[in-house]
Amino acid sequence: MIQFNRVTKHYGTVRALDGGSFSILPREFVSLVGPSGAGKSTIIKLLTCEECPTFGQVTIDGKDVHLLKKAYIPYYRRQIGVVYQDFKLLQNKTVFENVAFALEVTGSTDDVIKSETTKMLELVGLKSKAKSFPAELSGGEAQRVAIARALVLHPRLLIADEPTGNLDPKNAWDIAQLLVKINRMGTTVILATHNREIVDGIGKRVISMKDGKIISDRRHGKYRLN
Amino acid sequence: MVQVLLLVGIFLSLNVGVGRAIQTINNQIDVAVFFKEYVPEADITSYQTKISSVDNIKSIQFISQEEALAKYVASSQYNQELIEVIDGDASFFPTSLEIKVNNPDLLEQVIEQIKKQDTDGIIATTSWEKNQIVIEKLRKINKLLVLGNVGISLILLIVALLIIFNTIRITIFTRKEEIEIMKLVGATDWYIRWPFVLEGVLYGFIGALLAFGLTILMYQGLIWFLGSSYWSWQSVSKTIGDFGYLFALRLFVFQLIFGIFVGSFSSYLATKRYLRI
Repeated sequence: MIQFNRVTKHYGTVRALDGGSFSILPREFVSLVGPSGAGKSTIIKLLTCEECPTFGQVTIDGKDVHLLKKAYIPYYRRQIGVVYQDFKLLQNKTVFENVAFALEVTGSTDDVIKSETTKMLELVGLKSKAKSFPAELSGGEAQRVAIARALVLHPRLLIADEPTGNLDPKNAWDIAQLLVKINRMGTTVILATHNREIVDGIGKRVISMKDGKIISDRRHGKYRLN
Repeated sequence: MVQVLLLVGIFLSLNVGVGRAIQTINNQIDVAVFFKEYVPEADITSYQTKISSVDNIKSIQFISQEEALAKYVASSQYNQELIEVIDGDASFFPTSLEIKVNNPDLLEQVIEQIKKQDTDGIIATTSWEKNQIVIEKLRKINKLLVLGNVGISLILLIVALLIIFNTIRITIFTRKEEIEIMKLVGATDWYIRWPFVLEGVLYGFIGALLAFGLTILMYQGLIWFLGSSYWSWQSVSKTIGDFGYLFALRLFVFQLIFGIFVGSFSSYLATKRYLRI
């Protein structure tokens, strides 16, 4: 489904990603691990079309993502759900509105927005907090809202960029379990993290990175850096 | 925005006003040729046939001393003193030919031509000498106004663009996060942009309404002010006073289009920067 073909990304003189090649199959769960600055975020930005590779290709279903016309990028992004470390929730909107927002953007009807949003909040276990504002939520709850927003468009791929970075171990583990559950329901998941317990606990494919290079790629891998 | 549209409006009205004044004055005055005293009527008639072949002349009318007196009495009917001074004596007035021309802009040439035909030296003076300075001044003012109008309008256009551009940019800046998230969940550029463009249009629309109201108020004030002094009452009512509705409508439509264009265009520019993600 996803293919990175010798992808290099330079930021000025810094090589954020150095000739990375790997592929991800549909319905796979991949943990992307490594210390800060290893290149995890760069891979995610290349996937969401926020950045273009300096060399190499990123293809999804055989199509080069960075040859997409600018006008088509919004539609491409609707096939990818992204969850961030800092949640990126709108503070002046309620939980319900934050999730509904993603549907409004695509021009869905009010009925669809209402039913889909409710369904997603149920999935992440936050139906009772629909009318709360982000400031009233715990970190774990806020991240669940972000996941609901990412999933409400039924993307084929869910990318989680350090989703547990701001959470305590209990909440972090709950979020990880939720991601596994989502993967089991049929969505491809890429989880970028440097949380050892979570990666080891999930026990799925692990791609390890360091200084912009992929240093290992193991099918039931553990978090390791050498 | 309001200031800009207001100033453009004022300049436009001034422009049109002066233009109309010149036209009206040109049309009304045409030219009168006054003859010296005791020139026999036969000479004037033969002169009239001589100049009737001059280009651009629409009509020539002979005005005898008596007719001139009658005209004077008629035009001074509200001022009995002026009539009493003359005391019905037609010899106060010279005989004259009133010449109307087809194209008032070529008045100078016509006058030159008819003066050339005066081989016997029977012309005392023409009304041109008296009005020339006024007309030329008006023409000059009009030219300046046209130039000034274009120049100032351009400057004001840029000022208005910048003002709205900045206003919208501040709004966008405060909503930067929201826009970023919108982009990341897959909103199209226009989905994000149109509320801002609409805001710009609204600024333009309100600006145009206010500017139009103010222009009309000031215009009416000007007419009232000019109208209250006796010397210009006639010319005011006859020139700038009577282009009212059509001009007002045109001005309004122009201001509206101008305002909406400036508003939407500057918003478009302002959003462009933040949509690059």
